[in-house]
Amino acid sequence: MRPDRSQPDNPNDSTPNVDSYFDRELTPESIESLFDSMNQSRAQRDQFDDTQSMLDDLRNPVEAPDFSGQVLGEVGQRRGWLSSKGRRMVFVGRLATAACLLLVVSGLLLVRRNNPEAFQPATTSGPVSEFVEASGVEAGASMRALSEGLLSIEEKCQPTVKRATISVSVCETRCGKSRTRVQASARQDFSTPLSPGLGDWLSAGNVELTIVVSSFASHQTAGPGHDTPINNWLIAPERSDRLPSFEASSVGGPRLINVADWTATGSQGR
Amino acid sequence: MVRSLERKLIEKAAAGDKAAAAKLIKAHQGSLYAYILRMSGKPEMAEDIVQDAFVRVLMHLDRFDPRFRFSTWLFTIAKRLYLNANQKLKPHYDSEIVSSWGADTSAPSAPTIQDEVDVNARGCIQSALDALSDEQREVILLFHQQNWSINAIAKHLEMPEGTVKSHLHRGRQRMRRLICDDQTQKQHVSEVWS
Repeated sequence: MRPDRSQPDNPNDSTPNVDSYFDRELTPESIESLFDSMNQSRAQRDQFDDTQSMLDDLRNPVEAPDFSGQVLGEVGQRRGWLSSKGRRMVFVGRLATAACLLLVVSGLLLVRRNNPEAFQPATTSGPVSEFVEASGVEAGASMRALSEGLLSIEEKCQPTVKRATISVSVCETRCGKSRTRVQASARQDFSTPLSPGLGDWLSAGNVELTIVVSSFASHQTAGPGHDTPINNWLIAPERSDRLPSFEASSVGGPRLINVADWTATGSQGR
Repeated sequence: MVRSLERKLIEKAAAGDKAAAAKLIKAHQGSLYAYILRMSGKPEMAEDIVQDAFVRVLMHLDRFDPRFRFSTWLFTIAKRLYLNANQKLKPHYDSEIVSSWGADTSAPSAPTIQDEVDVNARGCIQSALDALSDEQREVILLFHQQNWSINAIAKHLEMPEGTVKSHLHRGRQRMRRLICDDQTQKQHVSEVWS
């Protein structure tokens, strides 16, 4: 058995030892000094050679198998790989998302700048009783809205004739085969929305209108100055042949308007 | 591999670029395999661990912290896998008697006949490495085989630099002694047969 040669021959020797060399702690000058001392000390040279040889063996390249095929296959199964086009799309998508976020933040900042109080919470606090009362009111309103909604759904489901009231302002009337310009608008409480064209709406055949003359509009041409009897007004959609009749109220009281007897042109709107 | 290039490859691979991932694997597979092979001494185990480590790393590239080296991260994951695999391979004793017999190995440093057989069967270097403690072996491999700095090893193993140096010196001394003994023994054998 060879003696342990890890220590220098002379412990008091200031020559750097072999271990320091292999620890990569020596400066070029120290390395030179070590090699000089090794020329004079066989034990130290043997120690150096043994260690160097051992470490060379340790650093010998190992023939490693190629793992890329198996690894890429497994990762591809679990996560999938993207083509360059796909990666570009992801990039564009991220960019678009970032731009949208930026827009939203900018918008919020703009709103805040114009209306600083918009984002501030209420500074005053009310008593609990007020909160409870307000909650009760809100709950009641919600329940009413819910019941109205249910009623409207029920109405929609029923195949009955629907009734609606339209307030009408007579703008201009003439006797006989006159032209009449009428503006009609649905009342706010009428749940069924009016379709844009009154004629189309009526032609559906399931709607009956009650026409109510409300008043002369002050900005319109008809009025007291025109010396026209108000009960001579006329309303009918352009395609009046589809409408059998409809009931109207005028100053003279409700009356039935037969479309066949009347003709009308003019604008109609909600 | 240059760090900036490596970072670009990591970014591309994380975005789903297969070619970039392949480059990363090819750049590190040799050193990682050599390290795990020397740690375990078992080629099959080393192959499984290296493959698993690469799969895990590529699956979680978004978690990579670019402040650190990619190889450090890869080696850490591989080492954990190696420890897990070692844990699974450890024999489990059913009875207390067997367990206490197995634990009664207070003087394992003395070479036995089985050790000699192992020395002949595997390489001299591998046998010497196997005789080291886990810490000594890992420090020796990281410093001398992978050329990591003492500082990097200390961070990787979460131990003071002084402790790393101590493991390095002792491990190197012990390896040298074991290899010298082995060579002396071989020399005696050849003298007898000649």
